[in-house]
Amino acid sequence: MRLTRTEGFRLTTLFAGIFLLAGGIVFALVYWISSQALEDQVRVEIRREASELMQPRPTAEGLMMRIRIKLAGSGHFHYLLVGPLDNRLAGDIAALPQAVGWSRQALAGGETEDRSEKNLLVWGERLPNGNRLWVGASLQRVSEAQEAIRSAFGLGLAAALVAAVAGGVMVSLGFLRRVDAINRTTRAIIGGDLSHRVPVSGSGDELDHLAQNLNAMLARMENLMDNLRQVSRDLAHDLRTPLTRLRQKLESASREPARREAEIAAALKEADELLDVFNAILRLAQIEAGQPTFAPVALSGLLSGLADTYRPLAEEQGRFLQARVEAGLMVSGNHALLTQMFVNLLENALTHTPPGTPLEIGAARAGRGVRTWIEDRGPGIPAHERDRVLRRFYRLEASRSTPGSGLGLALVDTIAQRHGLRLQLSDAGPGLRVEIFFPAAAA
Amino acid sequence: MKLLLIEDDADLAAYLVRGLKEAGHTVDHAADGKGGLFLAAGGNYDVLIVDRRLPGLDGLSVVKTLRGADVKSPVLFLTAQGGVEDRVEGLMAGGDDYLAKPFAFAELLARISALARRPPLSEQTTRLAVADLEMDLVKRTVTRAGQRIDLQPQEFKLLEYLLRHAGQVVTRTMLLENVWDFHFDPKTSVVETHVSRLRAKVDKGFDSELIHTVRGAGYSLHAPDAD
Repeated sequence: MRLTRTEGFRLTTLFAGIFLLAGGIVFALVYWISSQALEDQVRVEIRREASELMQPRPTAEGLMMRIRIKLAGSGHFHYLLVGPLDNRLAGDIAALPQAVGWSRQALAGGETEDRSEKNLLVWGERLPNGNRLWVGASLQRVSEAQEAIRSAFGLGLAAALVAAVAGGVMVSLGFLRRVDAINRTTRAIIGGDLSHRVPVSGSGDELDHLAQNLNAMLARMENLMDNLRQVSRDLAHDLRTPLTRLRQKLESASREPARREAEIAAALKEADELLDVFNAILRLAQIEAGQPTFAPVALSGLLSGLADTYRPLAEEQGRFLQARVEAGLMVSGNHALLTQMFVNLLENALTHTPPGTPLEIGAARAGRGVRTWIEDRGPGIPAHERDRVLRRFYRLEASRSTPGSGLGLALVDTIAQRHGLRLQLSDAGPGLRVEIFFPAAAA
Repeated sequence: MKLLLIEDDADLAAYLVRGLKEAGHTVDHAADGKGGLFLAAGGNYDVLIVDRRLPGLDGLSVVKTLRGADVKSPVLFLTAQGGVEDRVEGLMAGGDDYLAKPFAFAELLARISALARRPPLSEQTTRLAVADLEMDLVKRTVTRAGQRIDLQPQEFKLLEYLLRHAGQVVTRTMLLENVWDFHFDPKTSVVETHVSRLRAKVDKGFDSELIHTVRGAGYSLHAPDAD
């Protein structure tokens, strides 16, 4: 049975066992101590009765009289007075105890008690005149109390055991139900539907943590699968055109000797562009799969260096490239990747805005982190397109005619993700503002 | 120059050997790591061209072994993996330069020349000069025909690299890697723009040009009568 194999059930059984053992020990202690206490009390009462009979000291006949009176009354004591020759003088205890002192006797006949049980506690003493007196009392009270303790413990333990087993079954069934839900989800995913998610109960327990982690893993996998599907589709689509052009050029070169040189040069250029696309895809894959080494990076130096590198290019296009970089900013990251990320953004701004459009690159402390930005005064990107431009091969209609693989911003996004940076595209009114937030400045 | 090519791709190897011979070099070829190691240990090569992915003993191990055996010939790694991490790994193993496949043949030629003529530890150099162009590395000043030329820091770095490789062909990629520390291909004409700015300062207004464009390959800085 599956139920008995669950961890919940196993633990319940273990704890029920431990509980029973502890209960048993407590029962034994209570039983023994209370029996002793009750019996001691009976002894005290017997001694008191015996001394009451002897105070003040009566004659032999007087004592016999007192015994008879007591027996006729409603007291619960039993007596026996025996002469020196073991002759019974008075009393209702059937058998003659062997010695004075404490002993146990069966009760006299005619009593309701079970005779086989020596249920009578007796105390005997030798009197000065040679007679012996025994006084006894029934231990029925003690056995009744013992019986009560036994049944109370029995009932209590049984009830606790039932509760423990029921609780264990419930916990185990709940656990099994949730594990079953996880299994159903995984089976659905193995079946090919990556959109399933493990239900989260909201109680914040270990199973919930497991479910949340599984869901995060699934989301990442689904994302990767989507990417892969998208990339394969886009590759097929985006590479067919340049490959066709390459083929046409080579064909024309082989047919028309006069144009050979020009066509081969054009074919080489076409091949280079194809290689560029492949390199960009490879680079994306490398960055996604690799474990880049992180080190403190002097961000201010990197950004002002890039501004110096690109200012001449901007000026050639009649642009003004403004750098507003706060000095002394350090972040943690991979220098080569961060360089490529900012270069891609700068080149994007340079290629996708009309000549003469001013640009700005900047960085400033923001709280505990650093905010960097690159903005232009160009046409910008419509709000509903801003998420899409980060996708691979996605290109705005307006930029179809400009050179580019459609992978530049995807690469920026990937590098930002590998660094745990937040990338935000917004309207610079007019123009595009790309902001990258570093969560914490490096020490 | 005497070169050793360790490359397992037969087509590529044949193409490279032919090209290098046409460029006037003597080329030996090994198709796997062991054969390459054997040849490299015996011959005195000016440059070793080593593919990183080889059957059996891989390129990285070949170079490590050679360096361990005190073979000092400069090594140029060829690789299909162009990542920064791979590059660092290759340089750590004792490689001197790194070229990612696919590459233009002119790029390979330029890098081989640069490696072979690498001066032995010129860190002590304080002054570089070609014809009447002089650079003082301590004072960070440049003069041509005694006339002071003001350069931006990046222009200075660019000219320094050209001067250190005077007489050689320096490719666009070599400049990107060594002057700008860009280990990727920018989409804009970074190198061309900076070279043309540098030219405007170094060559314009003087009787001879020192910075030459080598078609299909890159740039070369040399005295006007050098070729």
